Amino acid sequence: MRRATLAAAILGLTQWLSPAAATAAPQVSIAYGDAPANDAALVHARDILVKSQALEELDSFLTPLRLPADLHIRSDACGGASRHPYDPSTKTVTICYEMIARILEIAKAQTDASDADRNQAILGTIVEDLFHETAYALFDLFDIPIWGRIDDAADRLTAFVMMQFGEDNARTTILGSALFFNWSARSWTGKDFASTEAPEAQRFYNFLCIAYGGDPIAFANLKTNGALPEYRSAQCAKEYQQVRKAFDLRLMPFIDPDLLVKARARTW
Amino acid sequence: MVRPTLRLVALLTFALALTAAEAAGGGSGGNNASPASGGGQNPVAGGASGPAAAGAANDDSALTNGKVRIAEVNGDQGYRQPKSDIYIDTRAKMMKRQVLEEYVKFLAPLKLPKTIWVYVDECDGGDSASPYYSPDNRAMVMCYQFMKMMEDRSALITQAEAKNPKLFPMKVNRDGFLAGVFAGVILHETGHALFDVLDVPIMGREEDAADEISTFVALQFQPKLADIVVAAYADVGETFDNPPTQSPDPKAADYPTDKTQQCFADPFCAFADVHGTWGQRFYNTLCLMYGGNPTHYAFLKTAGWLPKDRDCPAEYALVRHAFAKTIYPFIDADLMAKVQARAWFRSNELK
Repeated sequence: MRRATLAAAILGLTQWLSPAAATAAPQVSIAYGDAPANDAALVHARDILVKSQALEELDSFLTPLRLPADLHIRSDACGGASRHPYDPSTKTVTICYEMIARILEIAKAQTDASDADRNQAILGTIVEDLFHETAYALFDLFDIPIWGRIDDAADRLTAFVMMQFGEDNARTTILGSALFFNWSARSWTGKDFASTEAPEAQRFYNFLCIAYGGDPIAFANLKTNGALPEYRSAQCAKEYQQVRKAFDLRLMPFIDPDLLVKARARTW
Repeated sequence: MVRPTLRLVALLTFALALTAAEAAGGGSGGNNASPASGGGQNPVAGGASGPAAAGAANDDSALTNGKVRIAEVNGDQGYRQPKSDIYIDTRAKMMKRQVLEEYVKFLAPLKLPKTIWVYVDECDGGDSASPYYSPDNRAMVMCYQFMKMMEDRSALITQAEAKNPKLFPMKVNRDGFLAGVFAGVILHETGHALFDVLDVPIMGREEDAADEISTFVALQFQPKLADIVVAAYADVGETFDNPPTQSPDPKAADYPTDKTQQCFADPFCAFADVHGTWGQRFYNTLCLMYGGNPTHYAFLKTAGWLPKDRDCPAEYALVRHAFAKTIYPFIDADLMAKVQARAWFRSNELK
């Protein structure tokens, strides 16, 4: 034991003395995969992501993380599926053009909604999708114990992170996501409930609850306008604190606090 | 804590699942022999096949835990006097079965930093009051109403099963059902208590996490015991409703006046529940069972009970990992082996 410790100390010293031997810190790499040219909706989805520099923004956003391995984030066509699972063997997160296309399509179909609401839903849900899929990578890279269904865990972490960048960003992303969940809600019966994904209505309430629980002043109307039923809003503070505690215990040790402050001070 | 009637159903289901967990008292074989994957440690390692039913007297001298205590008042041994006469019989049965005394022994391996309490009461909330954990008192409260409802339920389930044996994934008799339900529910509430006193980070939804811990614990025991719990769980689940798909008529005579009940009658608002739907809980539990012991529960797959696109062994591994990281360090392995080897169910319950 002692010998091993000594060896490690010497190794560390050697590395410090010869910077050339030090390996580069793991990084995030991003890539926009091709969209099939014959699929106008997916081509459009890719254009939206590229023009908004979505992956570059996500990359900047992840800067404070001290990664143990390279993380690859790419957008791609997923053969018709709107989600493609995170691949732990290659540490690759995939954002599907199908999901982006679906978000655009559902928002477009809301003819009664205002342009502002549609835009908020599109922007908020795209951010939600990026965060949600990336959460799986963080769970893996940092070996985070997951109690509760992992897809809900990804949602809760997403909503929590959305709350850390000011009330305006929180409103756009959380309320935008909630609008989308409301618009896309379908009727669930029988074996539908076997899904690992939560029903849209459940996600709607989970996101709003984190928002209200994290900032009952900025999101006071969620309670007063009845968006959150009383019995649920009463426990949102506890839900928010629970995610916060999990974040502090299991993720914060891998985050550079100074870079985090810079990220929070930045305009997104 | 107190849930609306509709939700009670879901809770019951949930409780059943939990029950399954505790009921599984014996060592589920090789599949989950190493819950702490890669860590070298072995949280609640299965293995030894202890007696399934209590035959000879159990040697319980080692099974004590000063940090898990029955909250006794005026010599009631933790079984409060019910306010309503209809629960007198339920209370007598629970006392005779020594459910609290057994439960405390079951938790002997836990090394807790703070004392948790348990008792049975006629809870607030009327007929549909369901068991809960109160962080304010660090107390798990089992409700007579719940156990009575389960007793009533068991007759309906037996009838339904007689008519259609394929209605439920597994069979269980009425005594086994009740024992399984109690075990599952109290394990679920124990999950809440452990999350509280051990400061466990919960990234997902806590109600699902409590279901997971209950089922996971059950799976560390003999399949014969685990079976009771699953079967009980599945049976209950099958008799309860998912959220409605149609909006209710607010002018109908049976439209609830209570706002929370109105919410649960609404096809969208019903999903505001912090619990999963009974359907979700049902499949979550079956998936963990299969993931934890794909050999013993192979029939769940072949008979089509499991969703095809779900990687149940991976889901089980995720729960095992979380358990190994956050709960197992607080478990005494030697005592755990004793608990795993002990008989927790009686022969009439195992039939």
